[in-house]
Amino acid sequence: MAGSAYGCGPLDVRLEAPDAPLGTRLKDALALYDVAWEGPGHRVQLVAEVGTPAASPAAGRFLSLARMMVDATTTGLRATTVSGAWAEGCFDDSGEHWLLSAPVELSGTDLGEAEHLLTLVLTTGWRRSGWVPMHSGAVTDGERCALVCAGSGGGKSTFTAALVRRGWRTLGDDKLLLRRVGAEPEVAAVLHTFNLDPRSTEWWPELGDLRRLPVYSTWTDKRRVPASALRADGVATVARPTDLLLLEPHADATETRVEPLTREAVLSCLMHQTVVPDDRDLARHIMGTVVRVARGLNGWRVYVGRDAYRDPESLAPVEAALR
Amino acid sequence: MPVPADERQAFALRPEVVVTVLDDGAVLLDLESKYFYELNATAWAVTRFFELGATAEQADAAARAWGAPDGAARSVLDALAAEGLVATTATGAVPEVPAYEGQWSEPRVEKQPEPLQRVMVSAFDPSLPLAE
Repeated sequence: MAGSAYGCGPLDVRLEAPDAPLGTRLKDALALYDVAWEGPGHRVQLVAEVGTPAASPAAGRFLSLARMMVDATTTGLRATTVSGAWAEGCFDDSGEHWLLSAPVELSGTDLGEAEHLLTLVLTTGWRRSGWVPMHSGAVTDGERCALVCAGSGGGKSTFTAALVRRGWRTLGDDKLLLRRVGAEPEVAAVLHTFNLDPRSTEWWPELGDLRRLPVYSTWTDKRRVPASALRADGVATVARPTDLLLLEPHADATETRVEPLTREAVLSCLMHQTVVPDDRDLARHIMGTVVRVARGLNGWRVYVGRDAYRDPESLAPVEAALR
Repeated sequence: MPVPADERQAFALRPEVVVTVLDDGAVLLDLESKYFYELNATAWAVTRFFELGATAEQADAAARAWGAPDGAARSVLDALAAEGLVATTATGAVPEVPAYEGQWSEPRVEKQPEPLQRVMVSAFDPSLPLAE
C-alpha cells in the first residue's frame, strides 16, 4: 500500500492504494489532471483496497448512472457499481475521506468502474470547494472565451483542437470547472490532455500516427494527446466565459455555418453540460451558478461541415461571430 | 394535476422544486421530473406566494393590488399545477411577499423542452449512456 498525492484542480488528493491493477488504474486516472493550481487545495483522502463486494446495492437516490448508483448518507455518500465495487465518503470541514473497494475479481472493463467511483470522489470535492464541473471544452483569445458544447461524440475535441491550431488557447476539451466570483463567471482548467480521434491526422499529419498511442477505453477509439502537441503555447488555465458554441455535425454540407442561439437555448444547452444530483442544496448551488452564467453568454449554433478541418479557413465564420 | 375548484385550497411548491431567482424572473428545476421552467418577472412575483403556501384567492387579491388583472395569479397557479410543481398544503395567513413594482405584463411559465437526464454516463458526464 503506497501513498501518493495529486493536484486535481482545487483538490489535494492523497491516495493510498494497492499495486496493480486497481492502484495503477486510479493513479493513471489522477495523473491526467496536469494543470497546476496555486495555493493549498481542498483535502481529499482516498484509501483504495481490494476487498469484498458491496453487501447491498445503493438505490440511486442521489445519482443514477449507467453502472453506478449513489445514495446520500448521514455523513456523506455511498456508491455501488454493477460489478460490486463500492465507495463510502465521509465529509467534514477538513475535506472528504473516502474508502473505495473493488472485488478481487474485478479486472479489464469492469475495472473502469473504479474510475467511475473516482470520478464521483473528484466531482464531489469540486462541488464542495465551490465549483461546478462542466462537461464542455473551452477556448480563449485572452478577451473572449467560448464554452464548446456538444453531446458525447459530438466533436468537441476536434473542434477545440482546430481552434487551437488557429491561435486560440484551450482550457480543455471536455472537463472544466465553472464558478462565479461575485457577479463574474470564471472557468478553469483541470487537464490539458485532448481525447482525439485517430482520424485527426488526416487533417493534421504533424501529430503523427495517433494509432500508435494506447487505447484508453473500450468505448472509444480516441487517443490521449497533450494539448501542447497541437501548439506549444496553446493552453490557458483560467478565463471569463463570454460565449457558448453548440456544435452540430452537418455531414451534408461542406461549409461551416453559424447562427445565434436564443437565450432559452443557451440556458438549456449549459444546463445539459453538468450533472445535477437529486439533492436540493447541491442542485441550488449548481443551478445558481449555471443559470446566472448562461444569462451572460452569447450563444451560437455551429453547423460543422464535413470539410471543416480540411480547410482551416472554414472556421472563420465562427471566429467572426466570437469577435 | 388539475387545480381544485375550491378557491380556499392552499398550494405550495413541492420540496423537489429548486428555485434560482434572477433579476427578471426565476428558473425552477423539478428534481423529480428533471424538467426546468423559466418564469418571467410577473410569474415569479406570483409564484413567491406559493413558495410558502397560499390559495389562488389570496394570491389573486394581492396581485390585483399590484395592478394585475383579475385571475392573473390564478393563471400562474394553473400553469404550476398543470406541471405538478405545486402540491396542496394547509391554508394559513397570506404570506408576506414583496409587492411587484414594475409594469405588469402577462405572466409566463415556459417549460424547457429537454429535461435533464435521469441516468447518466458518469458523475461528470451528463450524457445519455450508450447501449451496452
